[in-house]
Amino acid sequence: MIRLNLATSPGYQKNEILLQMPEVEEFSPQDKPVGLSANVQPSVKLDEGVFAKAEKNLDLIEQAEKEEFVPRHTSVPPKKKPEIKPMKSHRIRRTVFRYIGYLVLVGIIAAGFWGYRSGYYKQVDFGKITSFFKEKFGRAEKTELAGKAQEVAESILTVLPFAQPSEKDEIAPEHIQMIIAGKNRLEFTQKVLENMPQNSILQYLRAKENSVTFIINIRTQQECDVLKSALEGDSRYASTEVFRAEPDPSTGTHPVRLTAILKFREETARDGKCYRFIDDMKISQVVFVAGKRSMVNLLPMKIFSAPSPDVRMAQINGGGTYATIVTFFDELSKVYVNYGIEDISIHQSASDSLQSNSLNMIVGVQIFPPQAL
Amino acid sequence: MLCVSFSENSVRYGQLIKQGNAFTVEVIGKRPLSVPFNETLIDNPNAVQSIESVLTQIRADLPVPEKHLSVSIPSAFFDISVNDLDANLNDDDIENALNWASRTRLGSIADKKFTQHYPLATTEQNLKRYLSVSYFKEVGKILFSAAQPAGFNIDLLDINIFSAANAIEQIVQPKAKDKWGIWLVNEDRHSLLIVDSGEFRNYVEFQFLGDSEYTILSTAKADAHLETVISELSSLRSYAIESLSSLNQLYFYSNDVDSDFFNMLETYEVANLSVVDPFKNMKPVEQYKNDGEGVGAMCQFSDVMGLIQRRMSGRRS
Repeated sequence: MIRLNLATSPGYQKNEILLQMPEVEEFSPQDKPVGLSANVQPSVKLDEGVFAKAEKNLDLIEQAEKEEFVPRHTSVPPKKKPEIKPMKSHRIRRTVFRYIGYLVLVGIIAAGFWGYRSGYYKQVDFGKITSFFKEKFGRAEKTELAGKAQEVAESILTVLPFAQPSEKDEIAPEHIQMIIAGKNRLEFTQKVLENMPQNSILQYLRAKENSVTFIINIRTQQECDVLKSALEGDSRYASTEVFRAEPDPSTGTHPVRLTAILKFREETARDGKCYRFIDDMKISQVVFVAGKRSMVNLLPMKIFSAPSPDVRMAQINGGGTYATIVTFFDELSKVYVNYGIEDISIHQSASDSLQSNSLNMIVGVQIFPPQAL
Repeated sequence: MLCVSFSENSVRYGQLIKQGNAFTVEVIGKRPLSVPFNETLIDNPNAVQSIESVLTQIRADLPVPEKHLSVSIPSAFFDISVNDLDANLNDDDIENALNWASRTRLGSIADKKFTQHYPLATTEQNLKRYLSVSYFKEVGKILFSAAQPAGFNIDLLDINIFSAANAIEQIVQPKAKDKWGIWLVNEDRHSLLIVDSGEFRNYVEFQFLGDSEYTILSTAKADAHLETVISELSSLRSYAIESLSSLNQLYFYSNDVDSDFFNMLETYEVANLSVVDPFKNMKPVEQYKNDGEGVGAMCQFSDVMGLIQRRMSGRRS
């Protein structure tokens, strides 16, 4: 096949340019360079004449230095969304959790007082909230630490949607858009799970950006059509990139394998709820309570870096049944605080139906700073 | 010889050394780019600095000191076209005709572009066929300006998918009369290069839309066969088929190992659709494994291996 070299001279390439591979002279491991330095010389025999054409071409290219760039008329590569890479530092993670552990007792007590002082409850029935907290904390005095955490988080879940945030608790508009995009991701994934045939075997599901990808084994081809119709009827549904059913004899009871990539809308125009900043400990509590309410099993939430003015990554790991995970997602999407759902992975290792088996779930979470930072 | 292939978010590289008659791939690696290597590169004031920085980092990691650099970059930077000319034209007329065709195709930006024309083998008696490739001189300037302070001379510049096709040709060695293709799978935009009887036949960029729809964004040459191929690939998204009928063999790879579509495609059982391990015949001494060790992860180095194999073969480099 044709072999190009666009570093030689322009125009018609009638003759082949043959380049010999330079040979290494007496290489030993000690020759390994430590960096670019004037003293570092390549230990190869170089026939400079061989590269004359390339050098000549450099001159030609440099001639264009003052010319203005005009974008090409042909199509250009798509712009990818900037990805926020998680800082996977075990040391930082351990430090954060140790920190959270030390502060959890003080924090729980302070949270109620802080909530009262910071005006969370100004627009709701104050007497009702006071009695709510009295009831919660009255009970908490007699229970263990986990119970206290749950109650504070319950109060956050209950009160926050109606609260008017103070300036220091506000979240930047661009971050609110990312939170809303995460809600869309969560809700469409929930919709997909809800509509999967109850007796299907979920091999893999992943939601990221504006798509949900999954592989399931089902009993009949007709179940594919039912699923497709249900998802296409959702207001968030945008398009079907892949929806392919094929025979899969490896799973005797579920002989049809369905692979699908579905796109959903990344609309950000939603209701005007107030989004409020809460600290890492409260976010962990909110997730914990959402897990308790939906009866999924959760590991402690992993937050990969200490509080900072940057967007940080965290992870929710857990497991449950198809129904409890759907409920868990519903609980997470009801909270209007400074976390967003970055991606979701679900898989099932045991080869049985969704109804009876546990699913493993990993939810990537973004934690946003307060606008004041 | 250091071989590097740039894609939007990363640079993948490998070092080939020759001692006596023996070639060794010393290292295969990958580094992230701080500036996206896409159409915004030319307007980015940090482009040269970013590329110089990553080349300097790579240089420091090389097991053997190196000066020579082979580079491949994404096909989105190039205008690729195939032109047929009368078989009786002499060399001067051929060059004039090809230059005229390029100017007509590129319009007012022709002067800002660096253009080359390559003869292609064809079985048709009454014509000669040529491949014309052009790119903005500014792109070349950025690459050369970044490479020299980092201690490298660029002596080979190629297009990623052409390099990958060269690798496949060496590794798989398709039959002489086969019509085969290489498909660069991306999330949003796909590229496909078709080889017929050992020679470049066509190049196309396309997108999949909803359901089984698709759109062709650009081609090197209008071709009904091309439509058939893309249509068949698009139908893979909806229907299971035993084998592709429009090509003898199709190889696919991706620079984005996280691509859902690529990973899903890997699960399809289509007889003549496959991923090729670029290191099948030549294992590197030091291998990048951060994306996994399977063929799906290794195939991202197909273009790097294509550059390496070109240097080993010594043909038209």
